[in-house]
Amino acid sequence: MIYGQVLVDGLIVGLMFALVAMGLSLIYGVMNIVNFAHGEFMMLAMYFCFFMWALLGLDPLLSTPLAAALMYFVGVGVYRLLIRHVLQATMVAQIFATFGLLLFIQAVANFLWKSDARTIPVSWSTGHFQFAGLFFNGPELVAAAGALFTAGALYWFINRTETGLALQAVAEDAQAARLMGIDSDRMFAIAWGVSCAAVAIGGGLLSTYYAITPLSGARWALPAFVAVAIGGFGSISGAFFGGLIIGVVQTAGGFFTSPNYKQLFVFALYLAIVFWRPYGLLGRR
Amino acid sequence: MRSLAAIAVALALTAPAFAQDNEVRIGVLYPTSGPAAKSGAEGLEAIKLAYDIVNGSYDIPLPYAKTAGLPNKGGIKIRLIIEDHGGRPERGQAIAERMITQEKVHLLSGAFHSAVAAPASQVAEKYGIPFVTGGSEAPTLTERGFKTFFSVTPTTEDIARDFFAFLDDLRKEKGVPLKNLSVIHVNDNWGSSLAKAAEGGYKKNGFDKLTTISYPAQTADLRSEVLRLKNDSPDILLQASFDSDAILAVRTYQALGFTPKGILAMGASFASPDFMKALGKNADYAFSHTKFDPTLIEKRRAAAAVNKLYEQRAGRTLWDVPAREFTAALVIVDALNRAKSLAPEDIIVALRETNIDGADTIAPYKGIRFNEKGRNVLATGLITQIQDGKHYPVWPKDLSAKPVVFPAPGWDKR
Repeated sequence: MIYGQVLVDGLIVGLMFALVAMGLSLIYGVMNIVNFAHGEFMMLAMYFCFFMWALLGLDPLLSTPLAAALMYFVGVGVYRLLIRHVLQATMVAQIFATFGLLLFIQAVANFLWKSDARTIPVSWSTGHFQFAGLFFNGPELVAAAGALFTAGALYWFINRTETGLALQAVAEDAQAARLMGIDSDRMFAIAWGVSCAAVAIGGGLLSTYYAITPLSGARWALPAFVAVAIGGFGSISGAFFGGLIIGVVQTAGGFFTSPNYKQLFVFALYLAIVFWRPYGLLGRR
Repeated sequence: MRSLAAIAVALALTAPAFAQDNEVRIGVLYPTSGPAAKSGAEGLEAIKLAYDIVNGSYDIPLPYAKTAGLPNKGGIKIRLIIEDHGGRPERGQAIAERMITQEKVHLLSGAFHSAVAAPASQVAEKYGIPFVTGGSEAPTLTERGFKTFFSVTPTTEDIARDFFAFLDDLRKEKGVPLKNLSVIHVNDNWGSSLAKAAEGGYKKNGFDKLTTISYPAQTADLRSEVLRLKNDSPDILLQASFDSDAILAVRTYQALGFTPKGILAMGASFASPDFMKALGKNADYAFSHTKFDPTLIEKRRAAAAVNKLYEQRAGRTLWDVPAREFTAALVIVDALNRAKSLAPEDIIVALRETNIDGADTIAPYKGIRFNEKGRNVLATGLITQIQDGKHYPVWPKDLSAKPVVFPAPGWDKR
């Protein structure tokens, strides 16, 4: 039974990695910018849900959609105020811009809210149950289900809506898309908004059981980067599967050898994939 | 060219202001950001309070409180130079280097994280400047045999010794066989030192199996670690974690149904109020090794007054980290006052001759006396248990405030 538990736990944490990774991949796919501050948007959403709960008594499951809506506009704002100005700049400048944003958001969070570990002790999803000999934690299960749903919605948005198809066109060739009458500037802003909204959903769902500190986002960002690299930079579904793979590999690898080595398996797999397919599992050149 | 000259003149004029002889400069390396930022900020408040008490005049039954400044040194004042290292060893090292060479500190103290204290005190040893730690617990720090390093706090070895003595008492008292031991710890030198102390002691102390599991600080999840623990099903779990990792760990124990008979934690995380706020009933029955408890207020004559002043500043009662740092600060002051001069060698001699009775501190230590490696041989702590959301000392017996609940009831029976 413990093997089943290992698999289930790997998938649950993998779904969260996947959700964070998909937003990251979206921005990279559309405009070739790596957003180092991705985890910080997640942290902001966690704080938003915390304060909605602490001040208004709103359950995090209710405030998560609000956080997503709010973070959509934050994402658009960040694009308009910062990213747009470095679009034509060198890659180093772009890295500094998003990395600087990471430091800035973390420092502001530290200044405003201090480093207290804040928590929402009880939410609607709080609870535990056993099913078929497996242990399930309510908030985690809800978070995983929410991640799966958001991943599906994101996939649908990219592949089935006109805006999504326009985004893909811009990703493929921004200039050609512009000739076809697609406003690439608007598309870039939408990509940032959607990416931030997706990661905000992750943050909101995690706020039901994670301690919230200014560093809470950063701990999810690193695995997400690896997930994006494994899945293929710019591929949304690649990021999804990359996240799942990392979740299962690190949980199972850690369990069967020693948890001390769990990261080793993830990065070994990453190296193997880079050798075998330098553009990741589903990445394109 | 002219502006360069102006800058040079300005620097020449301001330089003496940095290195006056009518003050003692103490460099404090402490984390107010990073994984232990919260505990760090509260510890720092206690450090500042200690030196304010020494510099000012307070009616508190503590040495150096009533007089302003250092009485043997003509009332000279102490100035603190505080810098945040964020828990990062390389930053701590650079800060130590700068404080010694630029700010000309007489003494360094800190650094909370043992992983930061290690390289920072290396720099101090190189320059022959004394380094006093009040809260870095890794025994490797004093095992290096430095001439300038002094550790007031109990080390991990002392903590493990207390744990094993307590567990042996439990075995006898409750008639529960305890054979299987696990350690989960953050993978820095402080966390690893608990695993090492357990490895050295588990057989002698009646255990026949030991598993140790490490994890990186700020990890996103602890599932494989906890599944592994669950598979090993230890009777007792020893834990060394930072604040938010400790919360995540206990939530994962509960989620995966991992129920050891007792969890014994070292360090600040299980003792911090955030921990109990986050976990509610699930924080109950965990044991912490601590160096302060409100019940000490009745046993230590200065504790009540210090606690009141601390509460005014930090908005919270004294607890483990602030109490330890406060105690270490007074050890520093005592040595500075006795030192023949403020030359580093004289301060080191004075530190080496330290002999303070536990009653003159606010800590549960029997006292403060350093061995040749700079380790406080009289350092001991208390073991507390959380019951109904509050810490109560349960060991040693003479300081105990409530009977122990052991084994801990399962997560669903709380």
